[in-house]
Amino acid sequence: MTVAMDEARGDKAKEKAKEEAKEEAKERPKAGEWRMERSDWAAVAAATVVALAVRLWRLSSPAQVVFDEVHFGKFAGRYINGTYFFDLHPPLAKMMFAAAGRVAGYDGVFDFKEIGLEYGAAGVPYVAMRLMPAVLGALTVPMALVAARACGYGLDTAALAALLVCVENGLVTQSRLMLLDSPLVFFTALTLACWAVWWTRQGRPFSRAWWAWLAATGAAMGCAASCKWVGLFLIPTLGLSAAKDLWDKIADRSLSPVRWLAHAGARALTLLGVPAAVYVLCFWVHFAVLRRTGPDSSMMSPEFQAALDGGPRVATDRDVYYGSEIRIRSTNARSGFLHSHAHAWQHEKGSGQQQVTIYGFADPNNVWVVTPGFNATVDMSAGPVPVRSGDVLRLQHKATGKFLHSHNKRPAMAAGDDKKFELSGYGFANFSGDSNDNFVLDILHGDPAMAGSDTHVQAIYSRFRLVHANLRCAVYNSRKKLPKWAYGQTEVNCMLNCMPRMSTWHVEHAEYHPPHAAAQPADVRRAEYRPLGLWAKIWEYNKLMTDTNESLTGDHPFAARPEHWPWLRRGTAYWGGAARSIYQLGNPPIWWASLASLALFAAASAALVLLDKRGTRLRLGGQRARYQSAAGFFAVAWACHYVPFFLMGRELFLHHYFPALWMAIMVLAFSLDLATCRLPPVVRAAVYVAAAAVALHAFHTFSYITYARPWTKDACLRARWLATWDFDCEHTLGGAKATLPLPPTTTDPASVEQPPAGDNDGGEEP
Amino acid sequence: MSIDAPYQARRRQPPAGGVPSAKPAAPEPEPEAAAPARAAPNALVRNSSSYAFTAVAVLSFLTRYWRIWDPAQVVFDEVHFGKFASYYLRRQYYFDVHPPLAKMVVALGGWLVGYDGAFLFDKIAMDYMANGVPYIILRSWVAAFGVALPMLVYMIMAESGYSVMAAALAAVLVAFDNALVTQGRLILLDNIMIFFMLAAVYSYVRFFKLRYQAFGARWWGWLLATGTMLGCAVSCKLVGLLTIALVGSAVLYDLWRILDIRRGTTVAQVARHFAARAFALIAVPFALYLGFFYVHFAVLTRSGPGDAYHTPKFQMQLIDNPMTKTTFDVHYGDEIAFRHRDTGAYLDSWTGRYPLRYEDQRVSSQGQQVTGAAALSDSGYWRIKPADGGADFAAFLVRRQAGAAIEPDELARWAVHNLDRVQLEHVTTGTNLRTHDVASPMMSTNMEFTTLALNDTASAADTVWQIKIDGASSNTTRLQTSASLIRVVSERHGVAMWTHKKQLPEWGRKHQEINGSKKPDEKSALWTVPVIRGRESTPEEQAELLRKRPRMGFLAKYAELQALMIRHNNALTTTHPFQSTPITWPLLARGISFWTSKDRKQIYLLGNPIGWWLADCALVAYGAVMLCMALLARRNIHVVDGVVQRHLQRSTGFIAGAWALHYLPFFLMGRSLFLHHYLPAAIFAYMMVGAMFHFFSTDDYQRFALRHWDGRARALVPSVVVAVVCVAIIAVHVATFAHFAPITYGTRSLTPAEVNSRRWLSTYDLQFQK
Repeated sequence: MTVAMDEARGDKAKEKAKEEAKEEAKERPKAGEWRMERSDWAAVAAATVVALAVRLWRLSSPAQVVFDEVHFGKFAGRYINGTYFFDLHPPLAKMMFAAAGRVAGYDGVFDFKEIGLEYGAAGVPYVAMRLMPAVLGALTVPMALVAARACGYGLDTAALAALLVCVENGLVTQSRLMLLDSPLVFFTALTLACWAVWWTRQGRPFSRAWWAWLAATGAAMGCAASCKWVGLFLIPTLGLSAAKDLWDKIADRSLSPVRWLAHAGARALTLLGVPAAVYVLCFWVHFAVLRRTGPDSSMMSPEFQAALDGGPRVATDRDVYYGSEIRIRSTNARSGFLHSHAHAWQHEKGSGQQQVTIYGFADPNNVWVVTPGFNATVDMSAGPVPVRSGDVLRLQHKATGKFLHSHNKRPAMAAGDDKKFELSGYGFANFSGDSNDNFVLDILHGDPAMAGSDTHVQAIYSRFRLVHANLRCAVYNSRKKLPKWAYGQTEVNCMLNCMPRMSTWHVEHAEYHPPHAAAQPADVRRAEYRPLGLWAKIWEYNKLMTDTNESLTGDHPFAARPEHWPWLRRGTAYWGGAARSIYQLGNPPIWWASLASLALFAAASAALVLLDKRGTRLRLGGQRARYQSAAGFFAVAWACHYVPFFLMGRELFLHHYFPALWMAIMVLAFSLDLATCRLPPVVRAAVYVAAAAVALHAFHTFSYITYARPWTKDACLRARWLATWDFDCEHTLGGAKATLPLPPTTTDPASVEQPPAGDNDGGEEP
Repeated sequence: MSIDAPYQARRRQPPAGGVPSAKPAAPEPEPEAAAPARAAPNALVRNSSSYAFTAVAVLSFLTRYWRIWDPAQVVFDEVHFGKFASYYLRRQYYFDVHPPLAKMVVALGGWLVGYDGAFLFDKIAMDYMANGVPYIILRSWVAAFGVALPMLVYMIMAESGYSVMAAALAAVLVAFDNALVTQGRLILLDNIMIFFMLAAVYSYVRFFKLRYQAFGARWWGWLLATGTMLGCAVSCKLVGLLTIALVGSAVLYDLWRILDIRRGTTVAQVARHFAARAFALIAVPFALYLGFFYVHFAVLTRSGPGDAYHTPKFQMQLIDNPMTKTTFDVHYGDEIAFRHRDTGAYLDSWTGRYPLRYEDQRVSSQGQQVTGAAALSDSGYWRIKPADGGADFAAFLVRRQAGAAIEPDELARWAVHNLDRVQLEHVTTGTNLRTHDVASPMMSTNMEFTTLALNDTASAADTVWQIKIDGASSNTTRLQTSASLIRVVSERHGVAMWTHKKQLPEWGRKHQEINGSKKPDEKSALWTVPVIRGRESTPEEQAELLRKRPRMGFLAKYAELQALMIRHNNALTTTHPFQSTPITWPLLARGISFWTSKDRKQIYLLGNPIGWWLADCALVAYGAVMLCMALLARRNIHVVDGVVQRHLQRSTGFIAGAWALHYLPFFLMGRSLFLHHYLPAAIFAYMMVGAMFHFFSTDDYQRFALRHWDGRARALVPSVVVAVVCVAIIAVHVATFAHFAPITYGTRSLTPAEVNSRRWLSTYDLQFQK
């Protein structure tokens, strides 16, 4: 009984749902109809001209290095010189700056050393280099127009969206300087616009236009991700959109499963394969251009450096025998060689025996002699005896004669850790040492191409640990800098239960001097680092980018957490000259209104679903389907470009919000359309004009700090709408510091000045 | 009506596509009514659920209590939780990042047998016997919760409509899981928390099954039981919030269905349903959570090791706290010291000057150094003076220094208040503390602190400071030693006196750097005034102070402790050699070394590899089955019967959701994580094994969907193949358990060969490999 009733009720409901679906289908514009009309082309042209005017005005001012131009200008110079460098961002945008500079005749000599340096005197074609981001920034404006039209909105709404993007002070500021965000926002906007246009071609799947727009989407996405990793957020954005589409398509029984798989495959290919190819291509060019070794090459592995011109060439005897003199390098950190010198440990719980450290540079004190274990002998009468994995041996420091030694004493930098022991050099004349000199050499892995490197120690090819025979601890690179009495070198200790990453070593140099000439091995094989191939280089570079990103936890005065971005709590000071400054602040009404429109979208969606469940279906004046699909797409895109930042521990800045802002502005325009769609045309027009007027007024108010125009103290104080906006009103006409420049700031200090923690800090040698 | 009726009805009419329609409101039929359909089963089959339940109980008792006295030493985190139990018994205040319930439960066990908390569990491997600790009682008490886990698993499975065999399979797998056994027989918190978690899940299942008798007494009973258990779980560890999230999502799903207008519910009815659940599942747990904290504060009344974490006001609530005896008003003219709250450094100065040029080539003012000293010395005293005291103050100071008697009224006039503008004169060098627009030695963003000669009036504005007492709003609050947390903010530059752990080089005597921070509102800019030079308290004063100490209500205490717990929990980022990332947990890539002894015994926390990998397979199988079903349903193809499909979606989906909610959130946590954080999820994964076994092995599925697990249940006689598969799984699982038992119990020495035979993965870093 109950079942029957239930099903009857279900049937009725289903019929009703069907009717509703039919009605909605009527509302929805038919796919594949939309084409750019003549009026659209005219609007695009007009928008481009206006946007160019807004971005290019006074582009040459200030004629000084501003903010992060200090980094990206310098990198452009490195590309032109072909000198290797490392940066935590992917290469595309920087290469575009280099290309612009190259075309304009920049020779790469000026090194953008600090903020405030004059371009004019150095003869740098900085206007041409700034022209590139400015033009790209201007093109995001027609992109907004096209995207809105492709989503089915009228020319009025599309023009409003374009205008709002055009007069957004933050986007204008960012695109007038040599910064990576303008190319990033451009490619992001291009991706979304292509995707919107492709969507209108859904009616003719697998047609040439369909493929072209889909591939263009993927290529633009790849370019965005190759500018900055923020571009990767496009993958979830478009991924969700594509997944929803495929989920709808699978219910279409006219589509065969094979055809559906073709749909899925085409999207996977273009939205994952094409971007990956673009990304790899960018790195290929990057490595092809940066051929010569440079100041940052020491951050890379020896194999990586071997692929650069002019780097140190390491070549050594391959086989290691008892009696060989060897230099041992820490494999996974760039710290250097196992080292000792005739100075004693001076820390509190130490033994006072000779120091053993890691030292970054070539030095006679890096040489150790492989010696048989304490109380063990090796019969060398029949020729040199190679060292095998699992051998118990001692390492004798050649210069001082001490043996590498460990014992139950605390190391210098981990006094409270009872899992770590001190390493020292121990031994005297006429004293044969003790069993605490014994280490087991345990090869972790060899080079697959070198037979025997996993059982016999071969220089460069065998990667091993040194395990203390009594304590069972492994020689461990703690990457901590020792105090001055150890010459600031890197600490090495012996750690129990350590992971292999920082306890892996290899021999970088080996030579064997036989006791008598006859014992010289027959053929002396040589070993050298094998230069990395493209894939390995890309992998290592990206890994280092990840590590550097994670270690960016500075204390920058203008760093801002994501929760402060959308309501524009505070800007970023970029540059200050006499009575004028550049302060990165958005157009506040646009930021606030776009945030409100996103909130409205969320609230409206929740309310609509709840009301549906209660049987009340609101149609929003026939706008519901379009609002939900178009504004919904950009709202989800916004969330994908904003929410993940909350999970990032690294230092963040206001400019990380710009891709999301572009999307929020689209939602704002669509929401205004929804709010006014049932009003009389005159009223609707009036609302649009009023919105534009508000945006223009705010644009004008803050244009002084956007374009570095001199402004008065009064105007400055009046513009401080929120107390948290800390542009300095004393650095204005009539202010107390009218003639002084502001103190400079940059972001990402670690990208150049500080290599990742612990690496490359060789310290000084006594 | 026969129970088969709805099923057969469905069989005749192929189920409609799309979202399954609402479940028929079939009341639970009487077993008698069902009986005539088949021949009566024999007694063994009829009572099989009781036998299975009993077997599970016995097995889990044996695995947990086997040689529970071994090892007679402190193992792993017993070092913490044993210690906390001792503090409860001593009633001394301690601080920990976890809520108090589980620790109080442990302490309760000790209290019942009259243990006085004499032993403090200082180090792993300390001996229990020598110290006279009733550790066997404590362990047995905690292990009782561990024994209950497999039983609860059986009850949940059976109650959710799985067959006796599937339920028993899941429960036996849990009973023989090495990690749960290790964790289940030591003085650790996870057991107790998992017990409450499973109890909450069980209660919710019972509650959900009563949905057609809403607002009845049993419905309310199970609803309130769910809330109570959730409250207890979250009071053990904040991970209990994940269980609340699980029940919360199930409730939302339930409410969403109730909200459907096609069910004919009115808005008022929906509101009533919502209110009942909100009360029982939000208000009740929160009230319990607060209640346990109330008990916590009521028990821990004495000063103890946790004092130092708290604000002075909080500390004054504790009996024998030294702070209560040293709280005086500060008056102008007093020579006081400043102590940085976070680093404990004292504001200090000496005649040494800042070097002209630092290593990084920046230039200093070459002013007198102001540094942070680790200990208080003569050079750490500063005379506090009103910024515009004038002759009045000079006269007062002369009289006070001469030791003249001063009327209390007049003295009160010279008390230092919140927001007062003051100068601070360094006593030994006779100069005023100053900050100015010069970058500090180590931070180019912060201002240098130095001093200025008394007669230098040109820059006198640099020496004016404002005292801002934390938490005070009016300018009538007095500055007190010890009790007041203050910020010292430069009036002219707006920077606050600040310091950090970094040491200055040799020229700065290796003291901490002191500088002016441009973020004066940060918590790290808080200082206290620990002493006034020469001021000691008399016993009368102490009594008076004790009487006058500010009272702190329970909620204020709770709020302070909760904020501290969250802050310290997030700060738990120091790396531990055995910490792991969540991705490695289901794969069981590595364990944790809990304890080792000299005679080559060890305890190593490691799950039963066979069981964990089997559970992973079950999870993947469930995902695959659901995905295929969903995709096919989109195309209106229904390969699985409607009853089965709904059971998979709701009941098995609930278990899968429980696994996901107890696992995935760990990916978002920044603190250091350990394998034992996965244990709740591991239990749900084992339940997935049971569920999938049921799905793949049972044809006559609908007979279980609504049955009760106890004697009324009708067991299904399994086919031989199914029984063999089940027994084989259990046999392999138990054999693996036995193989790893020596490192689970730590009762037998292993030779290197034996150790290595247990290294199934090279990443199992067991001790004594060589």
